[in-house]
Amino acid sequence: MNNKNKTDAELVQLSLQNTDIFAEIIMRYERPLMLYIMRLLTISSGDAQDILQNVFIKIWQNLNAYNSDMPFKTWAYRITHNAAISHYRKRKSRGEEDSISFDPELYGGFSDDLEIPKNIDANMRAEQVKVTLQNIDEKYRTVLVLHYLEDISYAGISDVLKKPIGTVSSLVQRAKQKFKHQYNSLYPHTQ
Amino acid sequence: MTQKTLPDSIMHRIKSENIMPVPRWHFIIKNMLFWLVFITAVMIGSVTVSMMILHFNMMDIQALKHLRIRRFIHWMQIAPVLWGVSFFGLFFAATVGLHHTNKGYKIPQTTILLLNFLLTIIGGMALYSIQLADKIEARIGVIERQRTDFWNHANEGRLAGIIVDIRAGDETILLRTKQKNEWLVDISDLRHKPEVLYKRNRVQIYGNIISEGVFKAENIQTWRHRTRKKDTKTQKNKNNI
Repeated sequence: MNNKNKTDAELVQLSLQNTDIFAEIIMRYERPLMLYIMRLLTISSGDAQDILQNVFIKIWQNLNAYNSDMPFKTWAYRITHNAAISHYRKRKSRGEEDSISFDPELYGGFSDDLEIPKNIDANMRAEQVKVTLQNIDEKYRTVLVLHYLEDISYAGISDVLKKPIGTVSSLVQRAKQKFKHQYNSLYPHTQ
Repeated sequence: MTQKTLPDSIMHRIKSENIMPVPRWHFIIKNMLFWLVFITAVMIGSVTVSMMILHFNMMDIQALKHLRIRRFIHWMQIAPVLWGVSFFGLFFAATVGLHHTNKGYKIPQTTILLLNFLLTIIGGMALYSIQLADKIEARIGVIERQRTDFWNHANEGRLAGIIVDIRAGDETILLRTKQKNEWLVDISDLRHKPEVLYKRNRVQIYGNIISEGVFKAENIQTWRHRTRKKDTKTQKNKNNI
């Protein structure tokens, strides 16, 4: 049976009847969720895979909680976000640092909204974005990654973070300012 | 040997560990539970507010004007602190409950707080208007006990009891306190002889002790009864006398 054309909500219903169909959901979301975890935490792909495996197990266990009023993508991001942040806080409380070799693909598509100069090498630009993101507070990094790298709307972010849209909107505005400020102090000569 | 892909290893884990989705009813109950917390907290909060209104109504604010020292401490003795603390506890529970419902997070925190506050206050006023607070107070007598304790401090200028006799041309009354102690109360300095001076009336007096068992009154008022219904009854009884 071809499940490629099925909607996410249909796949959820079918998965509850036939476990094997859940594999289709995993294939659909494996890559975007993996990238999100790596962008948010800057960890190795091995560590990200461990988190992701647990994320999909959680998605499977909570499949009955999914309500088709919300896009499945948003719901999956919410579970992923909670797992990633929980991992981040655990490591932080133990004083462990996350560090990985740099992958420019993760930060390549950053929006022009943040006024990062275009006259520099794309890889260098991506590296600067990554370092700047690493140096701002977790709550600001989260909304910037969700909005500018994952391309999720304010309404979507509201559902992922379980915060009102108004709060998300002001959080994004503040995060942009923090990012610009941090970027300018880290790379004063790139302007 | 080929390496397992992520979907393969997840599906393998689900099957080998027999991991099952949590049943839908579990989530429905969880959501209902948060609504229940919200509704219950608002309802009990409303009862608390109605008790606060009754308590404020029964407060001897006038008495505070005559108490020269430690006014704040006196205020705390008669204020509805217990109900106030309960109200904030329930207010917090209701806010958390609503926030954790399925769509609760979409409502801004200030709106949740305001909505919760308004519902509780309106509920409290409604319950007060149907005299629920009076019925509760008649049963538990918290305000009455607190007031009795407050007025039972002759050395601090507060005395309460029942008039058992009026002597010396309305210049002295004999007062019996709840603890069955008798006091001679000199009312000669009162500018206006209040209408409360009749036998078997319960009164509250502020003034000071002038000698053993003798109290000089500066002001005298009828004891404010704990429920509005009883107030009406007392008035009727007085009129019959």
